[in-house]
Amino acid sequence: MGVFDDKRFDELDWISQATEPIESELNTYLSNLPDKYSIDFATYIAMIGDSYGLNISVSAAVRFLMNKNGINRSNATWEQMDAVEKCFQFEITGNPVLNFKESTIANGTIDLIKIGILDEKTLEGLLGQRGIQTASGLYVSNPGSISRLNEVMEILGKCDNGLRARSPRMKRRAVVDRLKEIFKTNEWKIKNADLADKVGIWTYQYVVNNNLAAWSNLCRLKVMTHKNQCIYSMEEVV
Amino acid sequence: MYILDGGGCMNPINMMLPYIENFGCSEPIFNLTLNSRNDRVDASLQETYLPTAIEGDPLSELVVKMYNESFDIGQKTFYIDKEYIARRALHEVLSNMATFVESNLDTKKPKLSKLYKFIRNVGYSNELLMPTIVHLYKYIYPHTYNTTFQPLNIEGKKHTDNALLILEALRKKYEK
Repeated sequence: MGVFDDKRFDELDWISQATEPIESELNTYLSNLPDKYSIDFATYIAMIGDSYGLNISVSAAVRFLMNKNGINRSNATWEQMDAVEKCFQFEITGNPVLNFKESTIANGTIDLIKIGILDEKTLEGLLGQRGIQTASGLYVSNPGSISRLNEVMEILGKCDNGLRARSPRMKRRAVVDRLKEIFKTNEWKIKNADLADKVGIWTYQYVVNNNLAAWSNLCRLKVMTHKNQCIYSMEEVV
Repeated sequence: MYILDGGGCMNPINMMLPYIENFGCSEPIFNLTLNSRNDRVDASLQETYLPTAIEGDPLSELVVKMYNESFDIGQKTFYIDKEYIARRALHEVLSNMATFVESNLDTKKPKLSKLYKFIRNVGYSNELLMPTIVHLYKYIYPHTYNTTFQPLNIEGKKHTDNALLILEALRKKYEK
C-alpha cells in the first residue's frame, strides 16, 4: 500500500541501501562548516560574545560559525550540539598575543579545525532524543488524555507496567522508558534522525492535544516496522 | 587622654581619594594558550599592574590592598573605579576598628558592649564620625598587631587605651 512506502529508501543508491547509514541534519551542519577557520582579532572578540571572561571555548566558536553561515540550530538538543562541537578543536601556532591596544592577534595564530565526523555510533546514540525530551513533558489532565496515553502504550508495546498502573505519572514514565528502550537498540530500525524524533513528538501531540494526525502517523510508522526493514521516511499526515 | 588633630566634618571618600588618584591600570595585552583538551583558549594578562603603597602609611596600604581593576571590552582598556576602592577601604577601616574594640575592651563579651555595637553601626559615609575614626585608625596602627589590633607592647597599650577612651567619648556624644 502507498501510505506505507519508504520513498526515501527507494531513492538511495545501492551502497547506501546496503550499508544503511543514519541520515541526520547534524551531518549537514558539519558539512557546511569549514575544515579550518582562522581566528583573527575581530573574530575572537565576536566569539567572546556576552561571556564574562576573555576565554573562548570550542562551543562558543562553533556556535559563532553556525550563526555566521546561517545554520539554523534552534531544533538541536544540547546533546546534538555537543556531538557536533566534539568534532572540532583549537590549534595554536607560535605564542599568540591578544593585543587590545592595536586590535591584533600577533606572534602566532589560532585556528578552529575539524578533527572528525559524526560516526554511526554517535548518531545512533542521538536518535530520538529530542522526541524523548518532548515526551518527558507529557502532562495528563483529564480522563481523555489518560485513555490516549494507554492507546500509545499499546502501540509502543512492552508497556504492561504502564497499562496496569493507575497513576498518570507512572504511565508517563512507562512511555518515556519505553521510548528510551526503543532507541537504545533502534528496535524500530529508524534511520532518519528527524523521523526518530517525531515518535516522541507525535506521542506528545496526540496525548496532550488529541492531535489525530499525529496519532495516524504514529500508527502508520508502527505498521512499517513490521516489514523489518530500515525506515528512512514516511508519508506524513499534517 | 591624648588629644588628636584632624577630624571634623568632611566626605570620608575625599579623604581616601588622594591615595588613589595616581593609580594606573594594566596594559590590555593577553597571552593566549590552549587548555589540555584543546577545547578552550585561555587569555592571561601579560603584565599585571599593582600599585605600590607608601611605606608606613596604613591608609595607603589599605587602598593598595583594595585595588581592583576591571576590563571594558568595548573601550578595550582596563579601568578603575576610584570611589569604589575608597569605599572598600573605608569599610575595611570600620571593620578593623571593630576588631580593635573587640580585642582591647576589658569585658567578657566585648561584642555585646555598647561601644562595639556603636562602631558596627557607623556607616562609611558618615561625615561626622568617619574622619575621626580614620584618624584613630592611623593613630593606633603603628602600635598594634595588624590582624588582631592588640597592642605591641606596654607603650602601645597606652595608645590603645587612649583610642578606646576617644571612641567611648564619641559614642556618648553621638550615639542615638
